[in-house]
Amino acid sequence: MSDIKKFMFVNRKAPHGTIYALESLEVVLITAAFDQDVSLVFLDDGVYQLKKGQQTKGIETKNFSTTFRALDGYDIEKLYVE
Amino acid sequence: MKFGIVVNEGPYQHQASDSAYLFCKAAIAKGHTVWRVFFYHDGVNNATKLTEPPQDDRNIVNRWSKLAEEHGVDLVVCVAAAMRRGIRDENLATGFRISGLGQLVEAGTLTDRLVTFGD
Repeated sequence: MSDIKKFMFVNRKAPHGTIYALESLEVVLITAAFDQDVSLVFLDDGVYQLKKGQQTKGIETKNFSTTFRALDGYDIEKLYVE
Repeated sequence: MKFGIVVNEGPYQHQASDSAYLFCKAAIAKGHTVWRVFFYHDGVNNATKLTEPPQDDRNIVNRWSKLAEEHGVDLVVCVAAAMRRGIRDENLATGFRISGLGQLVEAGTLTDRLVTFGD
């Protein structure tokens, strides 16, 4: 896999009502692990993914928001928020 | 042109997998290549052979299997998404295989266009 291509991931969903946001973050990290040129966009309800201090205990879903900290470690720096 | 396809929604529930399939058929009919279809999120449910729709409806799963058989399309199901939803080798329809997300990245790098279907 020698070619480097640009991947832009569009996040339009709120973090916890569906699994889209959690599973999308997995793809983002894997794509970066394969040394691709990754950028991330947050629009519509997707902007809620970036909210600080999320509490998911009451709905018994995984709080993955801390995983966003890994973006820095993978050198993902192109983040666009509408 | 060489296409990679991503299907992010389950069959019957959502039009995405129908649209993806029809896109593949149309592309192939025009002489393009569909190199790989990658199934992610609820899209992994397109791969279970336990699917049995009513007789007067289309069989979405068999349709994918036939596409793989006739045109050599590589049907790849994400392992993490599949395990979450009970899709395993034992109930995988013919033509599908389970593998990692690296296969999605590879589809992005080795094709001319990566086309995503789903919300």
